[in-house]
Amino acid sequence: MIVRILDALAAHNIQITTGVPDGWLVPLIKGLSDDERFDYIAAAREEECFGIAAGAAMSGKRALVLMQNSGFLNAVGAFTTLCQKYQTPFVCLIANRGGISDSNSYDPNKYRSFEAITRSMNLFTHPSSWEDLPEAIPRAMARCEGAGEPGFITLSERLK
Amino acid sequence: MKQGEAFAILSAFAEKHEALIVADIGSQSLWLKAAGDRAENLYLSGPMGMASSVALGVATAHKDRAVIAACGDGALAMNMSSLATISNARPANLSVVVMDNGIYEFTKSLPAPGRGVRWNHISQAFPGFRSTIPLSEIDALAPQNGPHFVHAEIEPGALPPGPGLHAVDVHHRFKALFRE
Repeated sequence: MIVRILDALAAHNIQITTGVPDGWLVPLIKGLSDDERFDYIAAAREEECFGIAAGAAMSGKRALVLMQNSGFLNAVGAFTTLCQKYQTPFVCLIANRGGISDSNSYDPNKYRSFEAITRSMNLFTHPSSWEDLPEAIPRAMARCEGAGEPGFITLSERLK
Repeated sequence: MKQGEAFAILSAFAEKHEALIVADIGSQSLWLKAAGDRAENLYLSGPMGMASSVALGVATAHKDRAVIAACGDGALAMNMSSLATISNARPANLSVVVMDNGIYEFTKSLPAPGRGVRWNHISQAFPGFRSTIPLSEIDALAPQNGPHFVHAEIEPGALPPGPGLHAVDVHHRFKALFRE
């Protein structure tokens, strides 16, 4: 599965990747880090990821961001006043923790807030499965480039 | 040294090396434009502190170009974690410059918490940076052999005029540099 995702990213020139880890995203982050076709920048905070992706986009390159839903909550300010204001297209893959697949007591508020905020901001979000990512990420990238804005793909479970 | 003088030095260095500059919101973007408008200048108008991260994205996208992040000390203090990220990533073509006047010049000159940082010791705390130098030594810098950190001690002063460019126009003018 991870190889299929990596091949799809490479085939669509999505070479600059950055993120802050979530447990569900670890297999993909390891794949990106170990594959010379990609630059994976391990960021210390999620605002940085949006800055890095915006910088890549304004340089004419495609970028993929990986983070947990709570990371987006950390970085809403950077998202609005940089990524939306400058109309920078990139795709952000979100581990949408706290839904039906999570029984952790510390996750539900992340889910509620992410769903509420992205809905109220009228952001483009596309719920996906791991199986669908090789097709969904390139299609979302094309959509974001056409719209001149970033977009989100959400995962509601870990890779099985 | 006034900030305008510091940006005149930085802009001349950038022109010499055909470097791209990403400037923080506020006085950094405004003084950079006042020093000489170039398509290679990426002026940020929000949020504070993102110049170092955006410059890292630019440097990763174009490893054959020297890239400079022009940061305010108040702004960089808001995104200190970006120095850890850059130190770890070690982009050879990136230099981070901090304009250090110890105040938020755009916010009634209130004191900035960057006063609590030893900016001239950054490469000791963040060892991925190959060097920390004062701005007065920038002409000796090899901007493709970094990452480097440059400390510019500046005096508080008057604000420059506004850049007069919309964010989307800044984006597309910058991106047009790289169209084949």
